[in-house]
Amino acid sequence: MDLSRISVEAKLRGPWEAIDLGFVMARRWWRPLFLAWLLPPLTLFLLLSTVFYQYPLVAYLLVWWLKPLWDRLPLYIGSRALFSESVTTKEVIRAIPGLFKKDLLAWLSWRRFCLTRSFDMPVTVLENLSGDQRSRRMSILHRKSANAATWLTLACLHLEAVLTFGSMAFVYALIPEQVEIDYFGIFLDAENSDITIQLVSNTFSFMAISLVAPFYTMAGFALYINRRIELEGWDIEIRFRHLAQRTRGQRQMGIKNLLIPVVFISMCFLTTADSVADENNDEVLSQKQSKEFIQEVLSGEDFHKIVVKKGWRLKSRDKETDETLPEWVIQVVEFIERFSDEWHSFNKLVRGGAKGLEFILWITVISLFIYTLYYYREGLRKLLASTQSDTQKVKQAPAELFGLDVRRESLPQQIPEQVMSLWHQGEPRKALNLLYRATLSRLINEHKYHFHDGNTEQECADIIAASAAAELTSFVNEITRLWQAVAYGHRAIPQQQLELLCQRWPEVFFHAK
Amino acid sequence: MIEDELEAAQVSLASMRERINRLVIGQQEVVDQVLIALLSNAHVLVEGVPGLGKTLLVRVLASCFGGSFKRIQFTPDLMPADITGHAMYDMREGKFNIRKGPVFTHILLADEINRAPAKTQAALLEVMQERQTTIEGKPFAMPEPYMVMATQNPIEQEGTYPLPEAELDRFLMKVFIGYPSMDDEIALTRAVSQHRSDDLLANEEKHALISEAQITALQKQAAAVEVDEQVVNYAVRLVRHTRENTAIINGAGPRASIGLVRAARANALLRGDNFVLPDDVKAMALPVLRHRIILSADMEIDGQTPDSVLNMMLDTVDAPRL
Repeated sequence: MDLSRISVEAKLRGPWEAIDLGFVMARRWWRPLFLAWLLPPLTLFLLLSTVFYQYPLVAYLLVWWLKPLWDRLPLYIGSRALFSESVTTKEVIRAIPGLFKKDLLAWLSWRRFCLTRSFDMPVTVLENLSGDQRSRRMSILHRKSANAATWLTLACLHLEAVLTFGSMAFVYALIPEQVEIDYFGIFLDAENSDITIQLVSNTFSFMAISLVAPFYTMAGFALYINRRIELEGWDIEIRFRHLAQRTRGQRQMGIKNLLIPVVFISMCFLTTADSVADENNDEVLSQKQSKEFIQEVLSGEDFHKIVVKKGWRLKSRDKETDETLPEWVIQVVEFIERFSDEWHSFNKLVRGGAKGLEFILWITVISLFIYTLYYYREGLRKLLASTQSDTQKVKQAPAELFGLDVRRESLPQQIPEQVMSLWHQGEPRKALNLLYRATLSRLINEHKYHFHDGNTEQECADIIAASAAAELTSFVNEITRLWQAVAYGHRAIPQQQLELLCQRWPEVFFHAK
Repeated sequence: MIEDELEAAQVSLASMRERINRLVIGQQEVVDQVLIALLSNAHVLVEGVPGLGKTLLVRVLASCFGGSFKRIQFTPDLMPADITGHAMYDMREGKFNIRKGPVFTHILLADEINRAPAKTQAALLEVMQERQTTIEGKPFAMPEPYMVMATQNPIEQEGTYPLPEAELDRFLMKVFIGYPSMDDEIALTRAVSQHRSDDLLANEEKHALISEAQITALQKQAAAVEVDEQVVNYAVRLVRHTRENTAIINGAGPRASIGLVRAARANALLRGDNFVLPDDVKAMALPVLRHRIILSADMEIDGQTPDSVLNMMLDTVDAPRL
């Protein structure tokens, strides 16, 4: 890796800028990247589609699952192109076995759903790290940019879905209405849908992922490169290499003094010196010189000043514990303390939350119950009314009907006598009123008839006629007719008719008992 | 109203009912309601599928009192002048002659009134309300008695112009004419199949049972039927309840109260009484109110009809209190 040949400007970028750079890189080297990504999975896809013709989903699922492998070739080509190295097809083909087998199991199993795949992949493919080394490296890289890498994966995932459904919708829009296709079966009833249509939909999905994949890989790679520029100070190194080139051959002390801090800083950043740069003779020379200068500086007065300070001051507790207990014990104790505190507060929170949730649920259940009762109030009222016993009906017997007081207590003991007495007193309407009222009272309280407020006199008579004995029906019809004529027709009451009704009254209600 | 007059009215009405029911088989309730409308000097809207004897009913009703009968088939291109009439220039006499339209008759059958546009409907409704029409600036009164029986087909609603609520209010009653019972249909089929055409059935008995003047007298008798204050109060309470009922978004207006009492009076006369019972009001409530109310959306979604809502209302409104 020759940093001087890097084809992008090595400078510190934000993670989103780095992703943009990745997309630009993918666009610039689009053809080799796209072909490198497409050809291996396409071969497999076609092969599997042919072999498992009856199960089209197998081909797509397998190709999709192996995406971490397919990402490696574009990454390999991209990493070479970044440092202006051209790669031939032969070289790529030759590199395939080596690239594919690196950490194969991990990437196809527990790391398959890793959300930072494109960002992590260069560590495997380019740095060739695995195990603890990889973990340490990842922990350094992930301190920054992991968030952006995750969002990159999610965004690309959605982009794939949009492209898949968009292309399908486009084709659907071009299909004439007359062509009948069971779209429900295609998307929701995969088992029974047409295989050809499934193959077509798989092809659309495959095209979508192959279009997005080079961009995704390059964006992740750019993020990785950006992180390394930040960690290893590539930009600084490149600038000072340029300076070094300009001043090559010059041995003046001024230059030396300038190079001392520069090289010192570079050394600090170079955490993975082996993988950072190729070594050439010029660089070895400058490093040797640098070391000499560093030694000179370290042996100078500034690094050998001894200052003795005396006086009273408070003892540091940390220092005391440091003396008595090893650091790791303190850390463990602190962790346990912190953990137990957090556990208590968490437990409290959960308990409090659960209580609140329980309360809300109870309120919801009660509200639903009240709402159900309210919603079906009419039906329930009717149901209750229909299931009421006769006794209950008697309890609810109206005290008044047609404006007449029909309570038993409101009536005299001897009805016919009292009626005729009123008649003789010159109160014919009152007399008939009493007789009709008494009849209704008996019908309600003793014969257990139930009349609604909305029933007219004639409807009451019809209710009696529907179930009562002929004698009672005839009596009720006659008195109702007479009452209607008096009440609504303002007719005179024939004395003979009233006397006859008074005579029949005890008979009718006596027999009825 | 003296008893003799009541008896005479009973005889006349009974003979009319008998003839109409004999010729229009299986529609007793409809016949009664149409007679009530005639006695109330009002108009009636009939809803029913074609072929149930509406034309025959009107023809026979007109023949009962020797009145004239005309039928207008309402169509989308029917113009107001087509029904009311117009002035035509007479070349020989050199003056305009008035050519009266088909509305000038005793009983008019406005068939499928909702097929004509609003302006034609409005022309007819004006005639119904004012009982006169103006041609070339000159008013012409309708003959007495005068009744319009308009029909609507409930099935074919495409290309129709539904009557606005304000215009529906002009009809005293909306009557549903349904299919006759099995026995009635057998009798009907037998009777009609003996004639070469349906119309001959109506021509079978053309002599008038009563005169036009007697119909007018019966209308006066109906208007004179005694109504107790409590019954009027009951009728008004019923109508007002349609405005307070949550199941109804647009209740009936005061014209409904007037119509309800008028129809109850005619019903009492038809029943043979000279006073109105609350039952007369109840019996008339459905035909008088059903076309004057608009149900709320949730009631319609629940499958309720104006009749079912009105029936529920009749159960809840207290009967008259004396």
